[in-house]
Amino acid sequence: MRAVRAWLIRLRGLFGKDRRDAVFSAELESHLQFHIEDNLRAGIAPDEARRAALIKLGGVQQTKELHRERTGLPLIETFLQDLQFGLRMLGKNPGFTAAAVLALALGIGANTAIFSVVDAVLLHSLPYRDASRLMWVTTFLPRTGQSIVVHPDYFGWRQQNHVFEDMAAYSPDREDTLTGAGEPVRLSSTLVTYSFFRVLGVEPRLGREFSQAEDRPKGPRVAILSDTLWKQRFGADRNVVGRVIALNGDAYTVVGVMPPEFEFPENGNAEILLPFALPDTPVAVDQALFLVRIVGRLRPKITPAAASADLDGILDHLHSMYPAGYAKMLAGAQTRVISLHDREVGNVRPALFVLLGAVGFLLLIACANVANLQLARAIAREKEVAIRRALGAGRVRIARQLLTESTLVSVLGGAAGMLLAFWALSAMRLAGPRNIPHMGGARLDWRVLLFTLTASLATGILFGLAPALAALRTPVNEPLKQSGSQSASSSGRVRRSQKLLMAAEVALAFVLCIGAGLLTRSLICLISIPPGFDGRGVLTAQIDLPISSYREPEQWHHFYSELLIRLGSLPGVSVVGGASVLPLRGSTSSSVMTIEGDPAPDLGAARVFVNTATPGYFSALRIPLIAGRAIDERDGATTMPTAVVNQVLVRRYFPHRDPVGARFKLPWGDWRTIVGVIQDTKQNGIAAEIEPEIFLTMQQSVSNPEMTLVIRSSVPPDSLASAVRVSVAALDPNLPVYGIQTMDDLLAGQVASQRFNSYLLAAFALLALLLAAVGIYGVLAYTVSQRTREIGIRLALGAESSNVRRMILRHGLGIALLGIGIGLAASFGLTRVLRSLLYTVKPTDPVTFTAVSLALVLVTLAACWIPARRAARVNPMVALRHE
Amino acid sequence: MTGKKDVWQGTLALMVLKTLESMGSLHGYGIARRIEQTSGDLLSVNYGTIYPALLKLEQEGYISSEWGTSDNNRKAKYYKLTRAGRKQVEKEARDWEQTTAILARFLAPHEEPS
Repeated sequence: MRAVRAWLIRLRGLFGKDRRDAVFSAELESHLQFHIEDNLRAGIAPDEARRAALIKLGGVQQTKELHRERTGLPLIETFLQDLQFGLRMLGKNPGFTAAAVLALALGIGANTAIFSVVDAVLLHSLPYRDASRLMWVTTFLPRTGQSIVVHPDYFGWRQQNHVFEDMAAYSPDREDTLTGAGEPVRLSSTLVTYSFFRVLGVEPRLGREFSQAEDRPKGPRVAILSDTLWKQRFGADRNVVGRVIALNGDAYTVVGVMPPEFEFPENGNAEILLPFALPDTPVAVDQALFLVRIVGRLRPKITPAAASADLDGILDHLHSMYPAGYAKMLAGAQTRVISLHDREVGNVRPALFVLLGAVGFLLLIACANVANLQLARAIAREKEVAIRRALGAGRVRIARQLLTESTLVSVLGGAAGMLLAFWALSAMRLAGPRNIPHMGGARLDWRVLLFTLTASLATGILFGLAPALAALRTPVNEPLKQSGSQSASSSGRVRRSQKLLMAAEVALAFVLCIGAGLLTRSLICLISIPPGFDGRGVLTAQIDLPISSYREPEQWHHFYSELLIRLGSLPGVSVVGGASVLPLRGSTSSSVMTIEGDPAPDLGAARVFVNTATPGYFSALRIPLIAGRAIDERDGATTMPTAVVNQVLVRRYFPHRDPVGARFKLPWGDWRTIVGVIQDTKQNGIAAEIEPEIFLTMQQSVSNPEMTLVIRSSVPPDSLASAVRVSVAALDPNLPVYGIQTMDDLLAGQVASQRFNSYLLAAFALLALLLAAVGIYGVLAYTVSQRTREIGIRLALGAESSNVRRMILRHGLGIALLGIGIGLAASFGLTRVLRSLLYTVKPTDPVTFTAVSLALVLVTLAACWIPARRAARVNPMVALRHE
Repeated sequence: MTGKKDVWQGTLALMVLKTLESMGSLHGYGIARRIEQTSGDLLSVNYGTIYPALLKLEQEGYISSEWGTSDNNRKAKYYKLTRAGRKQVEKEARDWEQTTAILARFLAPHEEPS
């Protein structure tokens, strides 16, 4: 306590020094007068009296010095002096300062930007109470390789487990149409059980949660709005609770509004919550099973593994009670309990760690660069250091001064880096793929600031250490004896460090380039996969007819054929079609197919995707017909059931016979005749395997009245969006058109995250190359200017200028080869972490390795070229007169 | 000399406090002189060293200072104990007595422990 008080007073003592000194001088003067008077009284001669008093005091200056040390804080004072001196030195060398600050700004800026993303995505816990205890629960079915949970499992688990405080089921991928609140709009909605709020520990900001009575089949229709929806569509009206809204044409009562910070697991954009209303009844043979997702809150001190074991035991018992068909389908199911956070960010973690590693390398290169600049300067400053040593400065004091200087540079670089990071972050938020969760939360907050500050200080110490150590070893006498700037007492050692630092830069840049090269090659592989269709010039739009006003399938067919005619007559439109599910969107409905003449297949065996398509669909997407005919107007509700199949289906189920004319049966409907084969299209994603698929006409199908339109036009597809909306509104003004997107965008979305990673890494690799090249150039240029005299002598003694050039280039090549050697070894070890991010490309891809090695040799030689040429052009006469 | 100096710096604060306790308000020279006399001229150290010690005590709030005039009309800075200083004298004196008592046992080698 007393110590703190004293410290604070001393801190204040840093200011107003002169006045304090004057006061102390007066005090000392009065002290001396007292003493002199005493001495005179004791009979000592007047001049002797003053001398004795001074001796007894121990010297006026010495006493003042002692007093001054105690007045302020010497440690801080020296620091301030160092800072002042450092700033003056930096101001004197604007070239050096600019180069060093810029290099560090790039390095620290890149680190700050990536760290803020990593912080937002990986380090922040989910926005729920005690989020570490929230677990995502599923079962893995080894037979099909799927991870699914059916709703009876959820009820069984919830009632019988001993490890969770509570569990909730939800289903995030649902859409509903809201009418009567402005334009009709398609909402992203989520079904939740009533326990959901308690499990996550969230509460509505207005109104209440769902009650248990509302969460049962045929229960009251109630809804909870998201904060965004409440503000956008209901004008943030606090009286919205109790209001009735129209969803899909049905009346729902609003019972609550979620708080703004609420984010739904797996669907951050959910706009409305509805009760799940699952039937909690024993499983019967003819009962449909709902797929659910489960989140549970673990009891304290229960591990996920223990929870998994408990649920596994319950599962075996549950499944033994299910009807045989379901039990067989679920046979061998294994429980998986993983933290909700891992579930959310697990798949972006490797990519973010790779990026974090990459910017770390970038910063190391920047450090090596600045360290090299500092070393070069250290040689030039050897004399200055020696003079200060000779005047009595201690080694440690000088090393401290140099470290203060380098930290000053790094903090300046850090400040500039923050600015760069700010811009980079807004660019990344705009261009970043949507599938990185919580990326929108990435901002430069105090955690990031702290990170940047730490990184800056660490950087300053890292690159300041070499010159500071060099200063510690500097002898006092040697440099003073040298003439001019030719001092070279420690330059041999320094040059070796410089060479190693340059090689390290090359090695780091090499590793980064390898990483970027591998990702880029993988991206090229991905985008050159043929998707099976031609999406250029095609616009897509989705429509879902509400059952409340379109009860009969005839009404759907009528609506869609009307709409297709209207759209087909729009100017510029050539072909219009539609399908239940577009390529790359994944399939929602899969079924089991029994082929005529074959034995009835197992449940889960001969599975096919069942899709519905209008006649124009195949020509609009230019999916070629391989055999037979496409389905068209002839295949109506009353005619013979038909289907078109894809090539994978033919290969799998008709390996040795002509599929056209063959018949098969789905679990519903009559025998169907295959009338044609069309080319495969990618269904589940550009890199996924193609599954067997059949296409039916809408009239012959039992699908939902939902359709995605594909409109091929000769005008830019984007420009058709409003015309499509107008055409739909003319038929039904209450029908929202959603998911308007060009087919090209849909395709591009497939590789968005790969593109993001690959572009970012490529940008970092290019920066690294640039920094390394500039670093090597800087050091060599400096070395050449230092060696002007030596080169002049060589030339004067008859060396060819081409020899001199070769000498410098050979020096550069040596550095490049050393660096590439280290880089190769490091890359073989490090690229393994990229494996999960690569598609078809091996982490040791020889093409990438060769290309990058060559590129680095060329870049290094290019960096050496100007210094080499300058060396070759040295005029011996001028060089010898130098100094 | 160095050994003596270390002890000097460690105990100087207590001597200053004790001096001010018995003398009331006093200037730097007076304090130094008084300490020297009290020690029976056994302590012979530069008077200058008293000033950092005074400054430290003042920063810690044990003593306060103000300018005043001496008997012979000379301006001088006078130091006196604060309330915290008075408490500190007692505490430090107690500590010191304890320390010296313990040390005394070590320094009296021929005395048998009773």
